[in-house]
Amino acid sequence: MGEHGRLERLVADVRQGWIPAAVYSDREVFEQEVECVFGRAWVYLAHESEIPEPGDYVVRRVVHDSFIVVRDEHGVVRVLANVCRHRGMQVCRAERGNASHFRCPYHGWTYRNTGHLVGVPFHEDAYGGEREFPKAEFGLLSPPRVASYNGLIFVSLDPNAPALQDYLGGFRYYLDFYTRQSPVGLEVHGPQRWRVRANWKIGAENFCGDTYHTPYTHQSIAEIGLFAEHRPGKRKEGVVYFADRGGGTTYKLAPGSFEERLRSVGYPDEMVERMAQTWSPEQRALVAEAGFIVSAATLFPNLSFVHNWPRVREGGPPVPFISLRLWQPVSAGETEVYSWFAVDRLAPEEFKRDSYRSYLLSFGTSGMFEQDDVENWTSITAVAAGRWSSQIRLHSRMGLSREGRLLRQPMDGWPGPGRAFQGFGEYNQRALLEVWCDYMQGAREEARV
Amino acid sequence: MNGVPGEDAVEFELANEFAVVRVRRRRTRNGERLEIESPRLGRRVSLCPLELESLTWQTPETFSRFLGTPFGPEEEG
Ligand code: FES
Ligand SMILES: [Fe+2]
Repeated sequence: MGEHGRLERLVADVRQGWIPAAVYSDREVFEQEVECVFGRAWVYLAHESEIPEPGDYVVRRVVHDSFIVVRDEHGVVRVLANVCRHRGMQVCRAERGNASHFRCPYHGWTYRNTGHLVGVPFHEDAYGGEREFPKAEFGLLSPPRVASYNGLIFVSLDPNAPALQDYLGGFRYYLDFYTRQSPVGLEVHGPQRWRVRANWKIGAENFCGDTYHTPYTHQSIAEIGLFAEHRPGKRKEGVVYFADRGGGTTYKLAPGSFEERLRSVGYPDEMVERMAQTWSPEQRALVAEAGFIVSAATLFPNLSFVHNWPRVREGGPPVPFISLRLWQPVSAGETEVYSWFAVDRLAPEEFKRDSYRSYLLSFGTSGMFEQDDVENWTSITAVAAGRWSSQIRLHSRMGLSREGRLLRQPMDGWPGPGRAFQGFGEYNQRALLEVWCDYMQGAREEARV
Repeated sequence: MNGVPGEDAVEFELANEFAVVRVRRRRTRNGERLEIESPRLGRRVSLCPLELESLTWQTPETFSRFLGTPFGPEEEG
């Protein structure tokens, strides 16, 4: 298979940090991703706080597969394939709503929000009743695997996928900084959705580890004083970490205790106190001893996080916000971006309001970062689609010598799992695409340590 | 004008992507009922407080049974 050989060569280059531009534009690559990445990895669908009450549902996708994420009348969260068992019509067509039963628009088969088929028009006449057509056999299907972590609901279309906990692996340590600032955890608002003419991996890589672009792409944001942190030197002090299926960036904080450091990015005392009680000693050590705080991150394949603390009022204190971000592939050259505002459910109301402003100012459809970033990503995708330029190998080897040795050693005494480097380097982008390579080549989970 | 039969001005619509109903309080000569109307199916039902109260102890399964014929009874003209 010549085609297969081509993909193999492409993956081999990617493993060296030489990225054939076709990776961001090629239809065959994309089809293989649909099959091997989105068909096998754990993919994020929704947060439990998006469906707080019985009957609440949202409709989400794994590329082309549509799912209903619903809380049934007894409070159980379920994921149901949005495919009528009769002729395949989408049962739910609104992107969110509340219903105890779903009635298919085509011929009216009606399902309880547990997925059970309860109504079939002219069941007796048309189908011979229960004897010939037992309704119990035709409920809405569930995807092979469903699991959640800190309220984040994931599915895997691979029945043999590892347990979600194992898939997340060491990345759970970092995930908690965004999603578990108290035992109660997050509430999320949104999503805002929009489409960009960019390959889905470009954003995922950027959030995962690109501290190098911040001072330049987002220069104007530093200039107007929204962020003190965006000077090149400041980002260089940060550490990038990667553990199992995800990685992210951090900022170095000024000297101080756990409490002082979290206060310095704008958290009120009561929130700091809850974080102190909720996080493990190892997690607290990231802030208290190492002196770092998480910023952007990506969990393979397409879920990203942001944690930042701009000033919402001129001369005022910084106000932190958290955002979740899904890079939903539409095609090789197009991505639907889902962006949620997230905040700890126990945070004071005033903090929630300010934090939301802080988010809107920097991310989401109105956010300044967003405008800056997307220009780059659409441009890269367009270039990568060129007949000739698609073959160019892009350079993703920052932090490696010509021969491929690390120019800098991983940090000693890093309190978290995985590997951490201080300073600029495309360590994380390579690590993320390394996972991508494993999936593209269909390596068995067991083979990974 | 107490006790004048007719439809109360208080009316509202409840909808999701599957159905739309109009709900109104209806006064009779000596009491009142809650009327639920489906404009799409051209049906309506008028429930007294006792009937409504009985709904409070029904389970989701009861309503699933109601929806066994998703567009209403099937054996009429
Ligand atoms: S396709 Fe859903 S009822 Fe026919
Ligand atoms: Fe950016």
